[in-house]
Amino acid sequence: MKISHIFNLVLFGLLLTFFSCKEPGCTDANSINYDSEANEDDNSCLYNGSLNIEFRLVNDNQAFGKYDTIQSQDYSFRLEKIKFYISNIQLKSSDENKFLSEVHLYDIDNPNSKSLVFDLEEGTYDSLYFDLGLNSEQNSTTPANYDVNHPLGLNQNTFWAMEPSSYIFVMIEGKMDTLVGNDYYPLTYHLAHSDLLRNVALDKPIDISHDNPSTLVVDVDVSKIFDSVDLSEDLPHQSTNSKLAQLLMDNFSTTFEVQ
Amino acid sequence: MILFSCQRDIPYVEPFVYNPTYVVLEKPKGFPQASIPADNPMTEEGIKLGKKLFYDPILSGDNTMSCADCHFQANSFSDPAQFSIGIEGVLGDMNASTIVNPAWNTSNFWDGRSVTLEDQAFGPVTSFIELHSPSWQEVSRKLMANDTYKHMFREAFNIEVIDSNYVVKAIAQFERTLISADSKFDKFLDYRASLTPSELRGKEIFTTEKGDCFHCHSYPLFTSNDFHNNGLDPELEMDNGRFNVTGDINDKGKFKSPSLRNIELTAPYMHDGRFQTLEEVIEHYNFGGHNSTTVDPLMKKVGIGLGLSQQNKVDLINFLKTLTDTSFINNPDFQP
Repeated sequence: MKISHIFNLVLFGLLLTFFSCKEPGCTDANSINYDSEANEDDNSCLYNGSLNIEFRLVNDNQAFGKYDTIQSQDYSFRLEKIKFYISNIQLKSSDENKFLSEVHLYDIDNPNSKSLVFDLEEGTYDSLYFDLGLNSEQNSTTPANYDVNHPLGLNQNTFWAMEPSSYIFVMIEGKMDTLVGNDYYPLTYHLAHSDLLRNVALDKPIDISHDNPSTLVVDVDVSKIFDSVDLSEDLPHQSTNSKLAQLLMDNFSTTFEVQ
Repeated sequence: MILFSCQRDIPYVEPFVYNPTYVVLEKPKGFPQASIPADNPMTEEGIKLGKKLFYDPILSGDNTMSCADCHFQANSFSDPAQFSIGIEGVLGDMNASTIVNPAWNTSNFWDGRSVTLEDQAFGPVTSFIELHSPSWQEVSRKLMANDTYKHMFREAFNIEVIDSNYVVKAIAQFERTLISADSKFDKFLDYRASLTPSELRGKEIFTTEKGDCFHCHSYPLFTSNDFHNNGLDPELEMDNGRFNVTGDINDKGKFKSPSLRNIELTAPYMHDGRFQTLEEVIEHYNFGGHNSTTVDPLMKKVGIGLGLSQQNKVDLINFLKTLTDTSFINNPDFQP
């Protein structure tokens, strides 16, 4: 009887030792890879940080708003509407690209469109990348495919429905004065054609950390929009990739600068 | 026996079970799904009640006038009169808007002062120049005194006490069913009809810079749901329009661009019904409109004019008439 008790005790001890083995893993319930089975933290915890991208219209480093005027030697332009699409938004580094969003529409009349917030893993990146405009796949869809308030939805009023149909990549509307007759006249540029897509890469060290939300302020310098543009040329709605449309898109793609 | 024969039978009343039939709004070809308020899902009972209310003069102060007295189905639910006359004999100051595809509206009234259809329906009932009920409490009292309405509101909303919020919800539900998407032009896009050479030329004018109509009247709604000053008046003669809502001087003279669906049937035209015919409308744009600080940048030929020939104008009007949807104006579902 005594021997069997001793045997049982030894067996119990062995089992206890066996099952109490340490299980390494992430033990922080606030991490994104929390392991509820782990009982020993092995420093593998990963955390989400947040990135806020703010778009800000400026004119030679001064904040610029609706109904403000761009003044140059050759013209003045009073802005009444501006919308532009950016797509394929990513953070890039030498060893990793982090995809953020497929599409975003900036609209001067929509305060919610002026910033983008992302939750993403911690990491360090070298640049913010996006396309100005929409890729051909996106541009082959119609607002009927989306919720009315989606960036590509009907309520955005950015779709040119007639043949050849296209979303308007960049929409600029206002009143122009070429300083000749001092008489403002309506001017609109609607740039809509798949070949007008432009790539924008903005170099800036970006550190995503869970204990310190990151903010990127992207200035859009409207003073560059009309560089070298012949304002006398009649180009109100541009659904082709003419030279002037390309120049305007080239100009617009250079307006972005990370602060 | 005598005792029991004197007892009255207690009538058995079936317990009311709220069991509405939910309705998914039709999504015509080319349209996105409409956004329906979460607090007012569409039901067969709600739509039926809304239609009854729309046509019932009980909503007016003297029980003589209903919504339908300014919004005629034959006119795409607009008023052929320049200004509607309310129960007090007072003339309104705006032309009664067409009600077409309102489920896709992002605002209502010419100045957009109501965002939702529910909110819109509050206005005319107590407006002095329209139905002029003394108060919504009085409207509720009249509806509560009507057994049919008591039953219908219970069926639609599971309520015993009728209040204004449910009246406007029902009307909004009915209005959201007013879908027009079967015009000749829709059939053309769907390869079910052909356009005449003149209509095709008009389409070209409409959809290009030549007529420049499409910016504010874009497919599929034929409205941008946005506010524009289309150059009707010079600076000092402009009506306030959107300015009355925003208080922003830059919005003076701006009005919501109306849908051009059924435009042939919705004369007179503009917010103040100043133009009696489509010819007059086209002539305004062909003239180019008046320049002002708030004239829309999309009025690109302001003060200059479009330079349309007589044939261009005829073609453009012929195209506009392809937006007429006879199935809409004859739809028995929309009739009382």
